[in-house]
Amino acid sequence: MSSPFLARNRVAVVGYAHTDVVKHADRSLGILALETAKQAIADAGLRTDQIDGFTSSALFPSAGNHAVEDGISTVSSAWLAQHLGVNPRFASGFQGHGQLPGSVALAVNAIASGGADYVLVHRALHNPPGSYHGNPMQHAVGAMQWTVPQGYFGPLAMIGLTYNEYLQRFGASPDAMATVLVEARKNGARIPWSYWHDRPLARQDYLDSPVLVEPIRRLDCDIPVDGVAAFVLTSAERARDLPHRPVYISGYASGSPTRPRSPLHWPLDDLYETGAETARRLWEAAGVGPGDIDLPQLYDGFSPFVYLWLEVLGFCPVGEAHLFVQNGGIDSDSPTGLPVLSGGGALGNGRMHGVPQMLECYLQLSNRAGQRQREGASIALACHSSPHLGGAVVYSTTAFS
Amino acid sequence: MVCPRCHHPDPGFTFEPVSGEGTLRSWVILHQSFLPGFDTLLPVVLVDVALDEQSDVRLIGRLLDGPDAPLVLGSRVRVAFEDLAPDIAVPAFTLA
Repeated sequence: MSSPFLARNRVAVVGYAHTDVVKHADRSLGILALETAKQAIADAGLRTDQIDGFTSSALFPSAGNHAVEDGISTVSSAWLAQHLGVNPRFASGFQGHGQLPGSVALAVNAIASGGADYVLVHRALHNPPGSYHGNPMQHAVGAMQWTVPQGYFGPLAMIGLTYNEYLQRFGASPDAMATVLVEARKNGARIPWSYWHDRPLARQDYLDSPVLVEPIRRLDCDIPVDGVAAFVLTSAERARDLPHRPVYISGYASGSPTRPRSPLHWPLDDLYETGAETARRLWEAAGVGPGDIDLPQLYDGFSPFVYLWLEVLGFCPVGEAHLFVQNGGIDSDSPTGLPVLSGGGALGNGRMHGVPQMLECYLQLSNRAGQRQREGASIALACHSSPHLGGAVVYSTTAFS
Repeated sequence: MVCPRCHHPDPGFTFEPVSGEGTLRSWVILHQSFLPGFDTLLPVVLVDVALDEQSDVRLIGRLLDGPDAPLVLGSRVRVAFEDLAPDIAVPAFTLA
């Protein structure tokens, strides 16, 4: 029996800022991150010199051969702190999958332990010129030598293999995924900063979308974008003195090692078995279960993740998410639907890597969602990446013990 | 190199011949490749195969039967190497 999670609801999100999500920004990612960080700090009612912790993930999630340059294609916590002109007590990057939940976890640990008082968590995503995942490599080394010569490469093939295993095992129709896309784009269309603002998707548009790596269609993939989000976290005690309603972090969990696999090889049973452990640890840390979650914001960078998270987190039985979705189960406008994509997700905002999920949790629970404000949500969940390698965070309006 | 079962750092692995027979665990069909040199081969069927001798050993290779081959989970396949260059062969498969 592991120790109880001592930081439950002892750290809160107290402010945020978010850029517009665009195909290509007219300024560098570093400059956008600096401006967004300053806005988030001001939004929290703080001064830059009060920020003594920075966490993030600087992963640039492209399979292409683009140069990775801090301040240009990615922005690390160290870069951001240096360019803000502060010398934090704690600046760290999360290295695993589920980059945003992992970054939140680092921040919670630092604050709850007294390692930092005010932590800026940010994520900066870049869309380079040219093909995002295309790679002109002539030689494959490392793990890629086992699959690249056959043509197996990049995240579309990776998720395609998992998704086809799902479709075949459970007899799901690929067309059922249209419901996920329509739902994500319906909500994304209502969000002023979204790349897809005012652009909902018709079911037929999904069905007409080209199949790139069968069964993955182009529209099953989020669109690469430039965008930055920043959140300010502090202790529940300090949060009481700040202008916005605190949103407490009840617990978090990150994925665990699976069986030895090639990095792009995600057999369906790995996602279920290891994902179940991610979920178990999340509920144990947060002290809640799936029935308590009013707002489960599920990761959808590739649409099949929605099915897998629905099942792994226990919102529907394994193998039935495709039916759950088709029966109106994720319609955020229905009183009986689970609002899993009410924030638009990645498919309705752009490739913001877990930001739309966390942002929707924060906006709804802090009562700052404006015209999109939902009634009665008090416990929310944001997840990112896959259930077996990624992570999730539970948020709450109250600091229950 | 670490043994995935006992985690010993010097597991003393040796090569063992296998039958080349296996079971289909999943597949994808590439209609677009993100790598050079595949465009003229499209569509390419790539299969995920569990070897008969050890089911957690998986190989991914082209299915040489083409995109219209009748595939189901559990289909039996057999290895058929592709010679990419005089000294380079990679595993491919055909329906058994």
